[in-house]
Amino acid sequence: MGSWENPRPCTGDPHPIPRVSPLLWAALWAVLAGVFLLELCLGSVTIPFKSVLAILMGNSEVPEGWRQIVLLFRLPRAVTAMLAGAALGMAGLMMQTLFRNPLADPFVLGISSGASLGVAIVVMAAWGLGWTALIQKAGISAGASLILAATAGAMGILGIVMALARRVESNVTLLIIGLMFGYITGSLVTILFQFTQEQQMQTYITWTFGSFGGVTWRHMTLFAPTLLVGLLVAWSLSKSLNAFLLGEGYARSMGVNVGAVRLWIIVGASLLAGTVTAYCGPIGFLGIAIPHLCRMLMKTSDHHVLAPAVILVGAIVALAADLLAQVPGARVVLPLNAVTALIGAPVVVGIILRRRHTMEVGA
Amino acid sequence: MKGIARLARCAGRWRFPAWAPWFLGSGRHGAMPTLLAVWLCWCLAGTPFPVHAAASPKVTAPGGPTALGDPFPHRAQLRYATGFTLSYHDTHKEIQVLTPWRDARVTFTYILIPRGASPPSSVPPGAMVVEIPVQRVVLGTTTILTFFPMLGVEETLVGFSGRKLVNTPEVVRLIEEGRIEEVSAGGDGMTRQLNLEMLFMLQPDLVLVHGTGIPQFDTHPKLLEAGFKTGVAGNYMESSPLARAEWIKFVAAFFNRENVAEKLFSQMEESYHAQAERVRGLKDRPTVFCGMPLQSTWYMPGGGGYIATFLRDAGADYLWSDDDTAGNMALSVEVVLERARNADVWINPGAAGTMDELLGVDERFSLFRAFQTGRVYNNNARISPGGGNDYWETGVGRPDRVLADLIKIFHPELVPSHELYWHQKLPWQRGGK
Repeated sequence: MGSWENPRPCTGDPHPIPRVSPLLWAALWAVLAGVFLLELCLGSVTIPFKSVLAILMGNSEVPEGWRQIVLLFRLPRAVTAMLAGAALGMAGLMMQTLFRNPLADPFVLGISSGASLGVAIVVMAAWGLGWTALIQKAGISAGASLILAATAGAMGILGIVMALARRVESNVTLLIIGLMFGYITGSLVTILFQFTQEQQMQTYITWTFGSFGGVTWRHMTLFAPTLLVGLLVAWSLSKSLNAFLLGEGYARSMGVNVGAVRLWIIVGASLLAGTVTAYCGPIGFLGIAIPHLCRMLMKTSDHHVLAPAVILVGAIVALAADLLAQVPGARVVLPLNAVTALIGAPVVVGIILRRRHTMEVGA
Repeated sequence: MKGIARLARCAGRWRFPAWAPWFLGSGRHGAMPTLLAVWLCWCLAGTPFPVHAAASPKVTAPGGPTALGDPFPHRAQLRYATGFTLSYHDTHKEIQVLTPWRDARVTFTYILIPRGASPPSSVPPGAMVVEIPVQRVVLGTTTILTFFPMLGVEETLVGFSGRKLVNTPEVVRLIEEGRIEEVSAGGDGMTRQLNLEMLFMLQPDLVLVHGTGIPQFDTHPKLLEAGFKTGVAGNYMESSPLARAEWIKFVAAFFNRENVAEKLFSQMEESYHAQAERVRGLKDRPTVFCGMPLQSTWYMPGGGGYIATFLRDAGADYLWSDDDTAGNMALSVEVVLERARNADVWINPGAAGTMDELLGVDERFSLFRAFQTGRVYNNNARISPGGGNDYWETGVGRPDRVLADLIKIFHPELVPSHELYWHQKLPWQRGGK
């Protein structure tokens, strides 16, 4: 077992929560505030910093156009990015602990693909009625059906992977199974879209580029509470997750109801990854990179520390990725997934190279 | 039998002699270097199979007319199209498709000869010889479908890919009568694939497709390999509406119908210019923007493209006309809002059929003044039951009529008698106003 999942020597129960310098927390909050402000200030349209502050303070002397851009476009975008980053990081953390594998994340295990399949089915079904008309008529319930479909798809795949996990000893094998399920759902989506119209396919393909900008305040009324609940569920599982780190047998010996906790982890991770996928598209690499970044920063694997750290760092990294995707100063925008891969992949490679032994965990 | 067995044994025992050069594979790497070397030679020499599409120099016409008279009395001249050339020689016509897709590095050359005639002695390498007039045509693209009924040759169509998308009444009738087979093998629009087995059954003497330059989507390499006479139409690449319509002459050349094409095109051209002339001097040019965002990226047609030309000729002030991009630009929504907030008209917002649908996609669309005043128009008034948009089908052949539609939108007082044909002012709700 590698050090990444070995929080501290076993000194008995209950473990004290490791101390992390309050300065570090303060620094993280400061960075978050910084990138959040940057996200509000930088964009394709140049708006002076003073004006942005004035708009946030509710000053009405700023041009109406700038107010709309900041309050209706950049603010929901920033909030979406923060929530999505936190949610993906948390889902990744839970997956890595559950599978005791440093390479696990919602993407790798096919959860995002499952969510995609759910979304594709809803989009297909809705096309018969006119997709946009459906959203319009059903209002928020259509958004809910999207979340439900994505979550159900995510849970379906994760459930299958988990069921197989009981029969398969090696976690590497399990990862490969997850990958293969990702391909299967991917091909199902492709097959589904052979029967739709070009317009729908284009919508779907653009959706797979990923974006935080599609969530409006109206969507936010469902998006934000769902993710907040998911994050709280995940955070509250910290103690059980810690026990899982040392193996299910150990968890059981500590009095953890392994079956129930496992179910909660699945539900929580699926809800988080599924919701983000439904609204922002399948966003890669954040889920795997953020937990590792946090372990490096906090130098611990204790979930009581990692959970809030993942939320903070996830928000920061997602905001930074979105900032880069918008290419400050230029009119063009890049697909978000291109940027997250650009940031995330080197992080993963770096981690693997620095801690070569983590590759052997569970293999 | 014995001989063969002995031979096999010998072969099995045979080794490279010690003096054989290293690349023959005697080293510890075995046959690897040899294989690599062969592969490299293969690549450097170019694929040894005949390639049909290749850049080729122009044929020099043999001097002097033949005694038998001109085999091609009807000749067409190109005035707008830049994507192909059409030249006439004593024994053949030559068509070169210059830009089959964006940034294409290949051109396609077609030598058209009368049926039964022998090909000219100087066929450029890579050129395809087609006997005309062609009699059995399979069409793999909607972009030139409308030219067939216009030229009166729709009866030559034996196969079409994506039959459910067809709007053209003459072709719909032939499909209903079962005279045009479905040759699609899945995929729609730009990505549709052709069912090759069906093609072998239909035995067409010409297959017309479009190219995208994206290997997964393109059908012509496979068709050429299978030996079909394959024409690649690049009219969707033309950046002016008249140039797109002028590809009627490309189709006409395969049927010796250049006279019909010239007549129809000249009428259209005249009508187009007459209308454009009427709005040219107008001081009041409504500002306009296009499209709608997908996942917060707004794909705005470039100022050097087809839509921009139409808008300029219709007397509108396209807000992105300062840019000379021919394709679409990926803009962020805030840039579009900043520039187009007070625009007078919004056209072609995706697939939206009503204002309600637009709001359902993103309630922030109501920030646009064009939305508030209800001046939102889409080009989807005519959609086939299978979802094909007639604007991209018969609209291609009638740029004058499309222009009339657009003038009706921007300067209704100039064309009081014209009713919107492909465009519609989006109603608030389906079936309502």
